[in-house]
Amino acid sequence: MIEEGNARSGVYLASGRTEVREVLETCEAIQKRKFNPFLLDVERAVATLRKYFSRWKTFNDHCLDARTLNSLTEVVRLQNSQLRYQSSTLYTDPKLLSDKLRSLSVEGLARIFLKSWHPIVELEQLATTTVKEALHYWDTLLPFDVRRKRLEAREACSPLALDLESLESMGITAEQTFSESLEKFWMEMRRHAEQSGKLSYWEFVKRDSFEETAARAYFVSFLVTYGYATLEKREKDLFLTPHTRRVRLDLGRLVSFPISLKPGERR
Amino acid sequence: MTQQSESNPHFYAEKLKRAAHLLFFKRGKVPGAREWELKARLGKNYEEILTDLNRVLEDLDLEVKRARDEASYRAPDPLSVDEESEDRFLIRLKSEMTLTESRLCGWRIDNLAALTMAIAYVISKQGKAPRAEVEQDLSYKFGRWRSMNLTDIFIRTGYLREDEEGLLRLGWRTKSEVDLRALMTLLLEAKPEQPPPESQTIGND
Repeated sequence: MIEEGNARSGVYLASGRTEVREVLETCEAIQKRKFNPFLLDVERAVATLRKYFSRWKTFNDHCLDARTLNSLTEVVRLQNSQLRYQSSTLYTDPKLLSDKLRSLSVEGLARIFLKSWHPIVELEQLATTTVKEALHYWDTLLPFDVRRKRLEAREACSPLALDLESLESMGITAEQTFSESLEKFWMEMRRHAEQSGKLSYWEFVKRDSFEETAARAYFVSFLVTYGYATLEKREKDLFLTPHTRRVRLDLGRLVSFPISLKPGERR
Repeated sequence: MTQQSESNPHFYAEKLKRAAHLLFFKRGKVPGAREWELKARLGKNYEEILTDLNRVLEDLDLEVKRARDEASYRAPDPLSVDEESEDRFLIRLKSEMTLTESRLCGWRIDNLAALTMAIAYVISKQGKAPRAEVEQDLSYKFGRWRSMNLTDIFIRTGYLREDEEGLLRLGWRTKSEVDLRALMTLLLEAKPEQPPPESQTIGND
């Protein structure tokens, strides 16, 4: 009989923890500006805390209760600041504003900004280090006669007409936009890594022509920099792990990782 | 001796020049001068000197602006003991800049438009908005990759500030340079030029 009572109490506490955790998660989401602070029924949340408070026995449960209560006070503070903000002249409904911003042209937006913009006047000045750098530049610069020899004009070839394909191969025009190419490339990487979740950098990047390899390496660097894939170094091998969504990167911890690429080199 | 010197017009003109030098020449990461610096270099009546400097600058369409010096962009200064004197004084353009002038200053029209969108979005979210949301809003007009790049530029130049949780706030430069009330009023008054796009550009999350 006692055992049955204990089991019931255990189930009751477990469901209580889940409820309190849900309140805490909602509060945290509100603090991160994911929801409107008024979406949370504070009175109901307080009633939930009150319902289980006398039942908590462990230290962790009391900590959870305290954290939730603390988050609730933060939500109430946000509700207060939202009310103050709504009563100020700066208040605008985010949805209304977002639609308005999208409906305005780029030039229209720029013109509006210029009417309320008073840029700061600032004069950059020379510091000792920049003067030293400049002196070093002039000291190490080769005489003009020497430099001129390198620039001497050679026999010029006659002008040629360029067709669209040549312009595309020179990178002046493109069949698809950069965003489209990058998107396509990201999909390709995810497809290659479907089974194991990761793939060898060189196997993925290396192609028959140097130009194609360089272009693929260029796209990979973009995806890694913006958090769409991760580059890992294990001993001498490099591995790529594509993500299904963009991963937030800690900009302070990002490191540059140069990868040398030479024409004709085999990996 | 001091009183005699201060009543001397030549001595006063020197102080005016010194104030101009302090405010025009950038010494650290942030332009302008802090209140305690001005107090130390110009004396207790520094505010009167700044009022006079403002009068002189008015003819050049410039003005002295007092801005709140936030902890985020305040350089550590062991000499500063007065915690209350943390306002910063800057010199800024008094009236408006034309589109052509802004281009000559190195601003692209689409960068200005993107900055308008980012600032307005952050304001509409009570001064704090997730970076992803701002980027998504910008991507409607500028594409995803460019919007990420632009957000980085705005953070670097001090127009926006990103905290550890990835929330964007208005940066020190926005607070000093932009008349936020005027901006929001103008945006709400503006007549729509094109219907809002139904779908996002390719490459959006």
